[in-house]
Amino acid sequence: MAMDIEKKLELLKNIRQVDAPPFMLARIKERIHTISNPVTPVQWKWAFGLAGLIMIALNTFVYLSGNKAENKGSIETLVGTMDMSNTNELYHE
Amino acid sequence: MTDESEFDSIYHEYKNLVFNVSLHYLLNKEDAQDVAQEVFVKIYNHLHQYDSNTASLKTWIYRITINQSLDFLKARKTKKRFALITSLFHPDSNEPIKEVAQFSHPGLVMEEREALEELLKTIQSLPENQKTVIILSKIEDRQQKEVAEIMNISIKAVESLFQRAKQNIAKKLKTREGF
Repeated sequence: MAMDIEKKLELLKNIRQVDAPPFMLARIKERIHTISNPVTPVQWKWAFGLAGLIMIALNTFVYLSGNKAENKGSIETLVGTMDMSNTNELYHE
Repeated sequence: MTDESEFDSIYHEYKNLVFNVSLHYLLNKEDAQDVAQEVFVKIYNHLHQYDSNTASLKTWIYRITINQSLDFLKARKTKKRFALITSLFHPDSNEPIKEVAQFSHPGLVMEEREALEELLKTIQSLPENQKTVIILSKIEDRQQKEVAEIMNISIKAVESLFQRAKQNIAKKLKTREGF
């Protein structure tokens, strides 16, 4: 059996070396170029741009709403929020 | 940054080595092309890290090719397993389980094609280290010392792996022949 396997393994020496495909270098260079200069898909650019605009708009709205609340005065704001009265009337007659 | 002309020179010197070694592992022309391309991209990106004091350029390139080929084989096995599992969940699906790889080794002569195909498939089923020793010793025809250097192991370890690989191959071939 040892002889058999040796004989079989000798068959492997008959495998001939083949030439690499001629277009391989071009493909390799294309891959290298793609890796070093990644291209962001257009849809991603639009999506991120839109998300950024929405964030800015929301922040602006919150900021402006906050400013209006501050102008009322803090006591009035508190009273209004808690649904209380700012007069001395204890009973509604 | 790798010098383009240096890379081109390395490419032209080692393209056949890389392609053929990939072919011996993957037994498929298209997969070997993919792996060979990956190997050269890696060489391009890491050439500045190559240290000639630790190993010769040929040894370094052999190592990258072998590692890339073994990684590809692992990924192919996982893909096949996943395809089989998903097919269990869709038993009524008429979609055939994709044959992940077909045997196409252009280096085989017609007369011995069948015997070599069986032998190469058997070698492919060996554990990684045994597979590498057989490919480097018997197909690439490297001396034991060179095999040891490429695999970064001792010559004794190469001998031991070679003996175990031979025993494994003999056992598997015997099972296939149905003795």
